[in-house]
Amino acid sequence: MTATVWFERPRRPALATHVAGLTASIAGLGIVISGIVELIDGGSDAAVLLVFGVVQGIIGLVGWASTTVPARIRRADVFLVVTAAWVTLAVVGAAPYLLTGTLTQVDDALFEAVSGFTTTGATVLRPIEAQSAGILFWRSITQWLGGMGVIVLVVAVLPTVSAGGMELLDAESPGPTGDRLTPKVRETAQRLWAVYVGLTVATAVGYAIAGMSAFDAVSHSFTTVSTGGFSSYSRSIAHFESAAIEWVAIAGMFLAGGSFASYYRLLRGRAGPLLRSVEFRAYCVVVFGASLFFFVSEGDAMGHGHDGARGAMFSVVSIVTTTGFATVDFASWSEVAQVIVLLLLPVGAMAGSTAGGVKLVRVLAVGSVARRELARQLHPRVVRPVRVGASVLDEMVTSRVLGFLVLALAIFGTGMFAVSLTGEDLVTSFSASASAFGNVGPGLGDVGPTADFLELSAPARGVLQAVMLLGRLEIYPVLVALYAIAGRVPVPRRR
Amino acid sequence: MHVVIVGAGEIGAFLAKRLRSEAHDIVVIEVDPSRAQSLGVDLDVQLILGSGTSPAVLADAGVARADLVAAVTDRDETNLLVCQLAKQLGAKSVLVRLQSAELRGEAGQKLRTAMGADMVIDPDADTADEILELIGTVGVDELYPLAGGELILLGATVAAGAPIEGRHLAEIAAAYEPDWRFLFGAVTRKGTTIIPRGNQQLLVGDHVRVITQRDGLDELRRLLGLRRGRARRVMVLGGGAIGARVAERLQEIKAKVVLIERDPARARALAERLPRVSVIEGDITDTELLAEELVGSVDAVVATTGEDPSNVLACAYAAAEGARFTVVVLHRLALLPLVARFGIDASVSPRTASANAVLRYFRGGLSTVTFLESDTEVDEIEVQAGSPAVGVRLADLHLPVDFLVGAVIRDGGSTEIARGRTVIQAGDHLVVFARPAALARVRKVFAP
Repeated sequence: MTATVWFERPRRPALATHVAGLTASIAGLGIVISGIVELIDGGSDAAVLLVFGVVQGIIGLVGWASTTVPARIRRADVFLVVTAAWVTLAVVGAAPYLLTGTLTQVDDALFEAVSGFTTTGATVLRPIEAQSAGILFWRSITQWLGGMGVIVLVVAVLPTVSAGGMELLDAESPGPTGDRLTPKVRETAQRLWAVYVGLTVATAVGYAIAGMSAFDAVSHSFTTVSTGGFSSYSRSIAHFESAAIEWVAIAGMFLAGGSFASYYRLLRGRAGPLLRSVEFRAYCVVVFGASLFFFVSEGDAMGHGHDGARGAMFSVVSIVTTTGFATVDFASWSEVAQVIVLLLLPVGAMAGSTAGGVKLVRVLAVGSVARRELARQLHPRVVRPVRVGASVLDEMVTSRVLGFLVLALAIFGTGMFAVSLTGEDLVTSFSASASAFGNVGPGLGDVGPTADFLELSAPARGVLQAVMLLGRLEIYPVLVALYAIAGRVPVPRRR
Repeated sequence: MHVVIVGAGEIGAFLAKRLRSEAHDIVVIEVDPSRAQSLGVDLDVQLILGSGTSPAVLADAGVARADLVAAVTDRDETNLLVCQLAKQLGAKSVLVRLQSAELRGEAGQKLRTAMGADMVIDPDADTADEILELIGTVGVDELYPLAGGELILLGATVAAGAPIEGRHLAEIAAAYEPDWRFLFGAVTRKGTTIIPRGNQQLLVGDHVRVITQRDGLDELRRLLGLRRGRARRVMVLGGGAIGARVAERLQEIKAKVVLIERDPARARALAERLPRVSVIEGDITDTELLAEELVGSVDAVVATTGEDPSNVLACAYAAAEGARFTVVVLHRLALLPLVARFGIDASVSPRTASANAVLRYFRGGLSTVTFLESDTEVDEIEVQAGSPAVGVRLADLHLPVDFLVGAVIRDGGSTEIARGRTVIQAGDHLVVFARPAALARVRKVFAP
């Protein structure tokens, strides 16, 4: 044993502990805030939440302070760290449900936490209205933290992450490639969060003006802008029976489905990147096209006037942005409309948004690949880069996108198969798996917008948790971490 | 005049030869000994072996009293440095060859001004522009707008069955009395170019150069038996600077373009830059590939690689397969005789393209067109006040045999085709067909 090895050993997990520690203490802060909300509401869970939040925060801070960021962050570390941080979140996030007695089963609590942090919005709480204010607020906070991403927040906070920071950001943010706003990754993360907070505040104010109470406005703005979809009412947004609130929700969800980096540029007076973006145009085409279709095809059920238009638009935006709020029961729509819902479930909105799913930019890229393959059949030696709009996609990125799609299909298929093994029918298995992967929340059949996930068996929910996590982190971080842990890929030795 | 040329490559050597034939003092600076040597054998010019970026070498070459310094090496950076040094040493005007489109464009304007460049040329871009002019009018193998486009110098081969086949120039002229709108200025038969007179008969395969007013173009095309129509489907062979520019401009006008490039990295870069061009990776002399891409059914094939034999072979194959119009880029003269024999419609050369630009500048903005295969050229001459020719009919000037006035550009821009009875006025610009030797003599007639 040389001295070098002796020094290396304790430093090796340092980054994971460092980041997971900070993540845990951020979650602890969230729990404390929920405790304060509970205290104001006069509920009985305040003490538990406050004590646990503080303890949790301190443990996290100790883990953070007792470690440092290694000088060089290796690729394997990036994936391990992101996965470790998210597993930490799941465990920490589940604790308040158990400690307050809201949920008694460990797997139920984990499901609610994972569904929250991954911004899926599927719930096992029944009835929601019976829960304490602190717990409901905590649910919203989990989605809000998961929306822009805790790792992005950590990078924004950490002064020490420089090299490798962009990889961390990439590994967590939705989309095939990272979008750097500034040369410094920390500033990029800060600006993304600033836009995120700004949009959240605007949505909360919008909800309040439209008639929500302060508590509802804040907690719903959290779950709208994160495209999470938790609501403090079992009837979701439909509970308010207010057109104004629904329009605020539509606007908030629609904006949350766009690229936050281009919003930042827009705020700096540069509208070009957003307006010229082919992905943004595709986003508008999908949203308005599908809305128009449902408005016409489901007009009899929803009404042909303002109500129908709003209902169609709300459902489409909620599904495409993977939020999962509901005002109408699309599980009772016509067959063709349900098929379209199924097709929209895994697509997702724009890269760099808080939405889940495959993302339109990947769909566009795959379309370009398909056209190239067709051209190649006729002209075997044609040189045709994969394009999204005018910009050319690097071959590495292209192959990562294709790999993503293959893995996504495999995960979705496995999820569907596993759910069907528990005795669910085809529509339920299919839509539950697609909805979990896309972090949407509701599906069709037994998991339709008016149902909750208690309809499914515990094993099915366990499988779906994994699918949600894989979907939120866009597969690679989790699988690569497992791959590296399994020792299939020798982790490069640090010199 | 004292001229210093830096770089004795394709462009520099051609420039030296052209300017030398007009009896200027030429000094050529070249860093590569073997290149310098081969030039020295051919030409009566002063050679300095050394780098043009060395102030000592430039001073040696007499840059301080130079009327023109031409920085024409194949490196933009070198040319710009030469330019600045020459200006500091006191050169009157400096011409810079720049290949980077960015440096030539608006973005590079400040830099060029700072460096003191009086004129910027890019042979590859000029060549590409010539090619585009040609495939814009199928059947014509040379096309140069003069006098702001009012006059056009057009070169074409007399096609079988053309209305003018077998007729004498005097007969053709008589048919269009009293208003001529075009004039045959040079005829090339079996490699020999002459400046024709009225008794000249035109045969199938003759290459003619005609000066025409713009509104006479359609009639002229009919006489020459040329087809009409623009090229909509074009195959560009080779993705170098010339090929890329041709493809880019064709893409802008929404033509369907197939571009074949051998180098994978280059092909990829082009495919990224030109989204509507179909880029194929492959060798342009791979006839199977050409056949696969239906080379025989396109409107025009343009071979633009740096290798003359490949260009000629590919175009010959395309022509044999039935391509409607083929243009070949030739860097050296050696293969020129093969062009017509293989049924290739037109050839262009970076050296003539840039020489035209340089000579135009050299002559104070007056047009000059030189040709690859002959030393006959087309020039614009200004009639100065006080010249003995002012007020005299052209027929009475008794100009030399190898000199012909084709058209007159009057003050104010109106143009007319020259006749024996045309009276010369001060300030007229004459478009003439001439050999350089005759040109030097005739210039005196139009000067005071």
